[in-house]
Amino acid sequence: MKVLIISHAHPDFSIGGAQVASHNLHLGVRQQPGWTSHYLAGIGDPVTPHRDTPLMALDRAEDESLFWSKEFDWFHLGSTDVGALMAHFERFLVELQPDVVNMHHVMGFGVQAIRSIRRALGDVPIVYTLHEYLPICANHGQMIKPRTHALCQRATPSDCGMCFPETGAANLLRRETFIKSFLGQVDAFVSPSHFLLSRYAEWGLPREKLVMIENGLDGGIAAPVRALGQGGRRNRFGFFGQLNPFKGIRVLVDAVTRVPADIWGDSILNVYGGNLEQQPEDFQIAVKDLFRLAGRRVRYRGAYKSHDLPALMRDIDWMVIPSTWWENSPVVIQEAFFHGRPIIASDIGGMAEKVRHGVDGLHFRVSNADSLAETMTQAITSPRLWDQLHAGIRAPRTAQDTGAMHAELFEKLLARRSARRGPTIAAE
Amino acid sequence: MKSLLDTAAPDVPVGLVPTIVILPGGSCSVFCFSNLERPLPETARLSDTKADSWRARSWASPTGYDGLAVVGASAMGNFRAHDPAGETVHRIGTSDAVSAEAADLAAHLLSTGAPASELLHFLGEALSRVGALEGAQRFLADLLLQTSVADGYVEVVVRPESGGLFLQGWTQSRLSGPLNLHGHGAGVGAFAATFERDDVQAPAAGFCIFAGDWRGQLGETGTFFVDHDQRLLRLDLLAASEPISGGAATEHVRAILPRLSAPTRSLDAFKRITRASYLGLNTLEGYTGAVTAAIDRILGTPSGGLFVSGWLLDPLDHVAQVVLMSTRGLHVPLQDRWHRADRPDLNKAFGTDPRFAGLIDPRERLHGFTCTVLAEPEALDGAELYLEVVLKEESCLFLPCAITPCDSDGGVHPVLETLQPDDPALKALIANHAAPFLATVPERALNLSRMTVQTLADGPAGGETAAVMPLANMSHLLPVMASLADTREAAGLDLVLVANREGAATLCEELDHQFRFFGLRGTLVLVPGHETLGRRLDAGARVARAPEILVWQPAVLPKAPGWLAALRNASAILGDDAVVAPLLSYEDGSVYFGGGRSGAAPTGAPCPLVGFERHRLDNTGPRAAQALPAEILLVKSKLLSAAGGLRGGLFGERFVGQDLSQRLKRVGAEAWCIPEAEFWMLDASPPGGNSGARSMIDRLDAALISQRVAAASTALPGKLALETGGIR
Repeated sequence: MKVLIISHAHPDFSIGGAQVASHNLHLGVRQQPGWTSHYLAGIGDPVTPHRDTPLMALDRAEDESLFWSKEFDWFHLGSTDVGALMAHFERFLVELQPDVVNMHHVMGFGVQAIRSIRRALGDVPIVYTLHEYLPICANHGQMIKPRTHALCQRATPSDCGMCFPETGAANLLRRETFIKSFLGQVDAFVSPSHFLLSRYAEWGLPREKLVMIENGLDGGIAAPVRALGQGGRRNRFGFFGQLNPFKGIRVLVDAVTRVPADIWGDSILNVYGGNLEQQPEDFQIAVKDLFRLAGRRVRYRGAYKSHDLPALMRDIDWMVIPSTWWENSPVVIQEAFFHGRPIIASDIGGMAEKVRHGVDGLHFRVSNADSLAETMTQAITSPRLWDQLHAGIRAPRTAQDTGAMHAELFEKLLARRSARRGPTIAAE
Repeated sequence: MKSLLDTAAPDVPVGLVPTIVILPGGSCSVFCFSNLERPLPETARLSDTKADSWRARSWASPTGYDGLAVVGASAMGNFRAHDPAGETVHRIGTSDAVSAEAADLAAHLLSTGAPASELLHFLGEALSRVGALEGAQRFLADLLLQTSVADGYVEVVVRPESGGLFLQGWTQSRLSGPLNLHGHGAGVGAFAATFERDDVQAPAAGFCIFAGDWRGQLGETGTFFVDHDQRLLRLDLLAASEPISGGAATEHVRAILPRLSAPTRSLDAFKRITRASYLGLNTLEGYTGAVTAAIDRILGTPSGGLFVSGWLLDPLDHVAQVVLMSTRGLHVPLQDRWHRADRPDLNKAFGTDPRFAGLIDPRERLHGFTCTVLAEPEALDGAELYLEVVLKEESCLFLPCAITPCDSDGGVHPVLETLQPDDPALKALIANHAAPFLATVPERALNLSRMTVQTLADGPAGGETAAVMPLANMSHLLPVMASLADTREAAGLDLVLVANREGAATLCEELDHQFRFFGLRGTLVLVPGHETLGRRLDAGARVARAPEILVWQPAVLPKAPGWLAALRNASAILGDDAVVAPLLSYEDGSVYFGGGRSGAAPTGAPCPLVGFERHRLDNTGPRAAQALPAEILLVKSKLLSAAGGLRGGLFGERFVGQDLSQRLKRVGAEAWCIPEAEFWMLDASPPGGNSGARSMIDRLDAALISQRVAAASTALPGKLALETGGIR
């Protein structure tokens, strides 16, 4: 059996949770008996495409291909060139003849790629892996109110029309109709969190098609626990992620400044993250002001690469995930757990689901610097708390585990298809 | 005295038996009715007879209503009359009494206390409409004699140099003001004035009547008739004497003018006789006083509509009247009705002219004018048109004018250019001038050579139904195509997209890809960008050539497959006259179109329930509708053609559905909402997004529709509003 895994981008060219998870899945499925996998990733500038085809090879992997695209209709999540889909993507599908297709994201390809799969491969099972809320929410798929940054509880055209009055509820319904017309052709939706699944179920996807499978992690060698000196405390905090308004860096640094000096002592917050310069100017100014206010309590270490993580984790006791949006299943949670680090996380969405309060981490009230400061104070001042939470950590699923679970899902879908076909053939 | 009733037709079928049927000559019949429970419908469509028209008038009587109806064939009864709404059916029976004598009709009128003068006017118009006026001239002359009352004598007949007829004599009734003057047949507009005479005993008095549009020969009659106070008065001509004409005629009138007593407008008509006549020369340009004027343009339609735009510079207020005239009797004082417009440029242009130096107030800018005149075509046919500027000191200046033919709506842009959103009197300009003129403009035929037709994917399959869809926004079409893909609808529909030719260089290729991708079939029609929505839809329908047309704008999206079958099934059950549309609801769950005939729908909306919650409507069976949404409807092509197509001569989009609904109704179609088929209604633009220009066009369209409704609902459409050529 062969699965085609389609990702909007390749992790060799673009780091991101979805592309890492999809590539890990590709590697994991390959290890399953009776299964092979092919990985097709989107790619764009600055790579130069061929004149006659957007299809490209990845010379370092025989079972990996690239599909070049440039224009993309972000509002509809649609391709602006269905001619290219028909001429090249469908040609590729027909040639490859996968038994199952698993899409991760539709960026670059366009949501119409789902129909292309049907056109080219008939009733081959299509699995769509959900990584965020893009189909539901036109605000970059974050389900955050664009003006107030408040958490969005419900997406309907009328509600969304208030977020985008210049677009209007009618066009948001058009968008939803368009996207759902393609998602309706999907056989199963996989999500790495129950929270995400519940949001899609509320949005109208059939519950019987929704499946929760954790992302698999290929974490390498686990970092050792930080050695403590005489009288040392577990008071090294780490932040790993983008420095954008939704990852909660302002809440975190603000909280750090609120911890009394006698409690903070020699505690340190290490911030690993980049792209601050790409954020809105007022956000940049606010973050820099907070960094100045926090002084030596915060050490800004800059961006990092995945393979640096084991080394960086050596100096960390606690991972802090203060995101002010829902998140789904952030890979940083799995990475922290892989390295045995308890997590302090916002009490919403995928974070609240994946981090068990009092078991392998602590929750604080989202967007509330006082609550986070109290939680960090508790972490600093409770000598046995870290050990207790460290002991409660379960190892995250590996790529091979996830590959096996997906292979099982694919086989069920294939069996269901065979069952559907059987009576049809008999009738004929 | 009883008056004619303008009462809406009853809504309950009634059996109507005429008391007598009159055959006045020509191919028509006059049905007389007495003791009716309700007034007769003023217009009706007939069935079960060769007659194709019904025009009626009713008047109240102590026992109910009496009336008469003119039927456009020598019918004797046994047919059905349907009122314009198509709902009420009157069974018209036969009568034992049949006559060709005017005396019998006169007896009916006199015995029932009918307003004879109005009914004679009505009869003249109605017989004219059915082409029977000529054959009924003798009958009408007899009827005049039979229904009139002798009231006085004509002693002097004058044929003024300026045309028309001037009568002088005495009457028992004091004649004053506007009236109709009859010879043998239909009357013409005239003015009357009285003057005191010592030789007749009060209340008798002298009279003068002037009919500027009189075209009859004096030898035809020894008798005149005037309608006065709803009575017909007979004026017998005393011993025939030669009419006074030429310069003597002018002198005669000038001599009697100081003695005349009448309202100002009537006196003005008499004064006009004594003024200088138009000799084909431009006397305005040589005038040295502080008055000048010009005509920028006069658009003229074949039916006599004139749209006049020009200006008058009169800083000292010397001008008494500005009259548009023709050498065949047109006489329209413009200053009583014109729309004034800012022309500040004239202040600058004439500021240094010796005639105006130091006289022009720079704050005064309302020099421009626009005016619509609805003239009888005969008053223009072969005639010279000119502007007469009457000064207060009674002299006149003349300006010859030319008409720019406006034979189709392709030539109306000068009218649209006069409409400015910031004009504080825009509403009046539209209602009184733009709309009345535009209503007379013939619609230009669709010019297929100006369209480009290209097949999409494998081209149309030639099925029963073609969906005609105007395409303005590709992003609106995407969800339509996506929702159609792999459905039974897609298999049963040819899509005909109509798009702007401008900017469509890659459109065909892109659509071809999309159609192939989604498994659709159809055609792309490219039309010039200035074509209206209605004309675009018509262009698509013309190209489609399918027995059924689904008008489908991308503003609506199906909620679930199966809608086309639901519409078709309902249409088949409801019959060939049914036009069906799905239930339409907004994204918030409120209704846009759900049918319903009771209650008033807001302006432009197709449904009285618009904005109400969807759950107020059930899904069981068709719901009769007042109107149809232009966003989507399924109609038989033949029915659509009978209604005149989709275009309707409107300029905007908002009222296309309302206009189409009314035209369909006039040809007997019935509107239905089919709740089993349900669509989303996705407004293209919220109310705040409506530009001033669009709002202005919407107003214009609404006024045009009102004009047509008024024309369709009156027994005498159009004619009564026309400038009859007499002095008014």
